[in-house]
Amino acid sequence: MSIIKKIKSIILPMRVTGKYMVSKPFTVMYPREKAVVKKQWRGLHGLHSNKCIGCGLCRMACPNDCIDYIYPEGVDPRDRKQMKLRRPAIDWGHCIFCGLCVEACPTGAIHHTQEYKIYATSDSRLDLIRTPYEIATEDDVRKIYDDELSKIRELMQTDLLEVAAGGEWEEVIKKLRERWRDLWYMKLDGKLDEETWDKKAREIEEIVLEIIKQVSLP
Amino acid sequence: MVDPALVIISFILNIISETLNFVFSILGLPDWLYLPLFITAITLTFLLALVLDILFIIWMERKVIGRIHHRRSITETGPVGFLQNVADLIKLLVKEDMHPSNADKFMHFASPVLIASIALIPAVLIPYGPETFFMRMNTSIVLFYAISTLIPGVVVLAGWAGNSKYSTIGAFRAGLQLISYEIPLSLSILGVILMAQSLDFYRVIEIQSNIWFIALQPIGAFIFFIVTLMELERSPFDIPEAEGEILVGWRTEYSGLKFGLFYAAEYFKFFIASAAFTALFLGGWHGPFFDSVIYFLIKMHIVMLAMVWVRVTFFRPRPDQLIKISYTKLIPLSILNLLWVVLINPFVIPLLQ
Repeated sequence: MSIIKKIKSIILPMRVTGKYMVSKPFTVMYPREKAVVKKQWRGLHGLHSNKCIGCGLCRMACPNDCIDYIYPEGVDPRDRKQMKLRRPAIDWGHCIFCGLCVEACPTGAIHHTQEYKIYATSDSRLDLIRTPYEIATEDDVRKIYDDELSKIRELMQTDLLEVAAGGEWEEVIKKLRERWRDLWYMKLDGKLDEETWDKKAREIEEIVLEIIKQVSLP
Repeated sequence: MVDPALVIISFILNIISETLNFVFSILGLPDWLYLPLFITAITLTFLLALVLDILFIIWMERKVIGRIHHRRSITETGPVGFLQNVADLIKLLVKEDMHPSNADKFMHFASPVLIASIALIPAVLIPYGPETFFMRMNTSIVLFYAISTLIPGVVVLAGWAGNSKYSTIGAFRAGLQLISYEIPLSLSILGVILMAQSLDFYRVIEIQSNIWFIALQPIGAFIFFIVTLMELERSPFDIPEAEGEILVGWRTEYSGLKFGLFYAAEYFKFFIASAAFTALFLGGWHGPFFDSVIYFLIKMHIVMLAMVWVRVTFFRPRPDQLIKISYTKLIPLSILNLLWVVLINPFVIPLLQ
């Protein structure tokens, strides 16, 4: 009896390792092969722009304050009826990918994609903040910004820039943003003509961009 | 059928002799130099083949262990990572040579060379094919194991010359292992010698043309396999160099090329021990259609694969457990095997030849 047991104790582990010997490896040759991602993987966010109703639940659910809204051009944010037109911008530099915004979304507009690579094209902190037009899944809504200043103009509506700058710069950008907003409202009210608004806003945006570049990525 | 290996070997021999003739005609060397130079050229060719095979063996071992761990192992250097071993070798070659301050300097530098050269000598005694062997003598098995027994002695010296407590402990553990494996080893070889009625490797292989000895004395083959693992200091019997306890045992103080020589010696021993197992129990060069060195090499590499398989599967026993296994299990079993051989010998004699 004990002899059979001992022979078994030799054969059984050999069988296990023998099975492993002919099995495929689990490791993935990462840069060359794409990593296999599970269906429930909380990857980078995508946005179905036509599903979004601008309800604001994703911003309320976010524990890290990395979501804020951008209104389309020519829409007055003070008019509460236009609220449904706003779309979320996300700061992936602060996002912890907890998935609470996706859970909160009533229409399934904001969602996780299978993408897991956060990439920055320069060493600018600005690359990690994505406007709704950058993460949109629809081709006609999606756009790529040709320079940083045009992206800054979109993001001046949000508080993501000051959170991204952080520290002593936070107050500075907040004040600059208030001044920018006054100019914006004046333009929407028709007190400023297009050219003056563009010139004055550009001045503020250039300062903000300069500050954001100070807090560039390591 | 023509043995393809023999064609290749005669082609290589032709090339060597043609080149030598050419060199002799150009330089006008005396005739008595021809034979020594010819032998040297053949030996160097054999060594080159051996080193290439050992590179393959190390690659295979790393790959197989990786697969069993569900990894990919080496992949980056060269095709399927084959050149990684060459890169490792170059790294060892260019490393700074160091020795402990109060070490026995002569033995410290001599022991790696001694071990590597002693480990290589038995390769000459094994017949790899019916026509491809270096020498034939009546007592090659005895000589083979007599030379193999020298290695643990040099290991003890190497450990002592390391001038470190780890290497000394490792050296004495190696001596301990020698005492426990030597008796079952000789008893299990005795079974083969009794059945073949010869001390010659060539005759032992020749006699297995109809049936291999592993079928006639499986217990003997099993014991020989385990004892070979002990002799090679491979896992699970790597007590002299147990990493978790005494760093790398008797090799602790050796770095660079000296470590490389020890490493090479380990794989020379690996090569030669599996060749001996093939010769003694697996029928050597015998196979279907024709007798060839190819069959010998295939069987030898299968034995190596089995040893790697065992290495990954089992854990290391304590030194006292090793001695217990040896004295209470292996020695009685090998005596039982001897009895079995004596009992069945009259019935298997017509099968042999």
